[in-house]
Amino acid sequence: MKTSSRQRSIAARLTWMNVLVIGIALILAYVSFFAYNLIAYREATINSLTGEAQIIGENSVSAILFDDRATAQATLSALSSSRDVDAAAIYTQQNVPFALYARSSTDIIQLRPIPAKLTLAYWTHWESILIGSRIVFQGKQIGIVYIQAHLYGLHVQIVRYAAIAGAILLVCMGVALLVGSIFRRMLAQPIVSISETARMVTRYRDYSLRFSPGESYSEMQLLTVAFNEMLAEIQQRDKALAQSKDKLELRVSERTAELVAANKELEAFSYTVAHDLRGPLDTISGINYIIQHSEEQSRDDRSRQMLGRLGTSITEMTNLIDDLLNLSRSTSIGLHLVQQNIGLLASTILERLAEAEPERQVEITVHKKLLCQCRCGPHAGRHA
Amino acid sequence: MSPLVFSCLFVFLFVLQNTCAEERPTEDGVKAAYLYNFGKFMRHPEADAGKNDICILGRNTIAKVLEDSKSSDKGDAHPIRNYDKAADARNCEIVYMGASESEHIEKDLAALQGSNVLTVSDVPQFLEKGGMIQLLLQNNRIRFAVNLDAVGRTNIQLSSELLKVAVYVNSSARTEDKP
Repeated sequence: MKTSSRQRSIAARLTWMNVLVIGIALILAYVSFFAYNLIAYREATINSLTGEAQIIGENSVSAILFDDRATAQATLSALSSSRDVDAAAIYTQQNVPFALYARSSTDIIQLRPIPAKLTLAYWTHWESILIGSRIVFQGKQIGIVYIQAHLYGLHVQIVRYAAIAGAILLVCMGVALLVGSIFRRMLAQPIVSISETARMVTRYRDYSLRFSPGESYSEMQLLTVAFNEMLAEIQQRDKALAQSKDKLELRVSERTAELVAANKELEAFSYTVAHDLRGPLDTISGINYIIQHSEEQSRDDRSRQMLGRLGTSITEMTNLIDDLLNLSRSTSIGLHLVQQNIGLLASTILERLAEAEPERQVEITVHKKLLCQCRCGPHAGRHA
Repeated sequence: MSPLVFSCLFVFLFVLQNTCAEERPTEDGVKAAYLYNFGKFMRHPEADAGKNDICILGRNTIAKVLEDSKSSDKGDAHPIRNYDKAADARNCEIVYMGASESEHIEKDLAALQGSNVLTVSDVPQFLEKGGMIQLLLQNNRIRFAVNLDAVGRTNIQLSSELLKVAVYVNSSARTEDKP
């Protein structure tokens, strides 16, 4: 399986870092040496060609003065032993070709005028060099010699340098890997151990584990001390947290028990009250029923109305006691929730209040189709 | 062809011929240049260090060319002298013997014997007669040959550069056998 760079161990990273640093350093060194060598080789070639141009010029003086082209040609032909020279030419003072030499028919000299105050000039274009040297005899210019050369040796230098640099690079990287594998244990092992300890702490929540660095460097000792102190701190806090949690749970359970007891007392009280109220109310209801159904003709309308209102109140009282009993049982059996129309409930309460106190003139408007609904016991709304 | 057209054509051809003639130096011009240049490649003994005369023996058109070259080449002044007798030219640097001297070359050379004078001539078999440098015509070019034996009898030293461009350097070779 391919491992991403983020998942690699620190030891592997250190090793690759060493290899990378050595590789970059060697490549930079190679490039620097190559650039230096290129410049030095070019300068050496220019110096060599300049010397050759001057020697040819000196040796061609008599040939030019006595119009001996064959001798001048022979002098130029000596350049065939020079590997870099492609072509050469001697021109007279009147800029007429006097003698020519070309390694091949395609080698043609592109002449350039030598600046007036110079006896020697050269022009370079990458690997191509053109040297122009005035032929001066007894203080007078009698001709110009041109030498056109190509830095063929440069290719050899490049290949040679690349081969040497590649070989050195491979050897150095091999040595770096070897040395890195030795030293990484010394450097990275404490870090690996501390990460293993951290992993164990994380996995098993065991903050009592400690990392033992053994023989290590001061940085690692500092890291170890800090790590262990952090673990001790976490352990201490964890312990305090656990104690606080235990205390809190104990307190909650105590409060819950108190609440349950209070609820039970309240439930018993409610039940007792409701039960005790129910007996006399049943008696009143029975008497009211008897009165309502006896000597009904002798009673006037007002008495009949009053008895009817008494019956209604007894029924409401009965419902109220039932609700009270249900409420007292609600802690154990839970609420049976139904949807109530708030508007209708408010209108009912208002009518009852108006009947109870007819002398008060209060105008209250309630929307009967009040859509706001609540969830409560069947008679809970009326206790509001 | 009308006379006017013919005249114009004649004038044109004449001018053209003169122009071409200016571009290519004459034989006398080349020989004069050689006489000048010989002086640049020879070394006299210290006693004759000051002399640099170029002397012409007999009547020769080269004398005029040398004078013209002298006037055009101010920085390279060689006094040009003309003598009828070789004995008068013993103090010259170079003595040129023209075709008019062909009958009495040996006498002239004998008159100059013992003096440090470079003898030059285009007379055939000049070297065999004891001359030092003979001008030759090869492939329409002026060349020269050197008789080192004759030079060796004087205190003159010729530069190897001069000998390098000579068609041959030999005292016993016949000028007719030149390559």
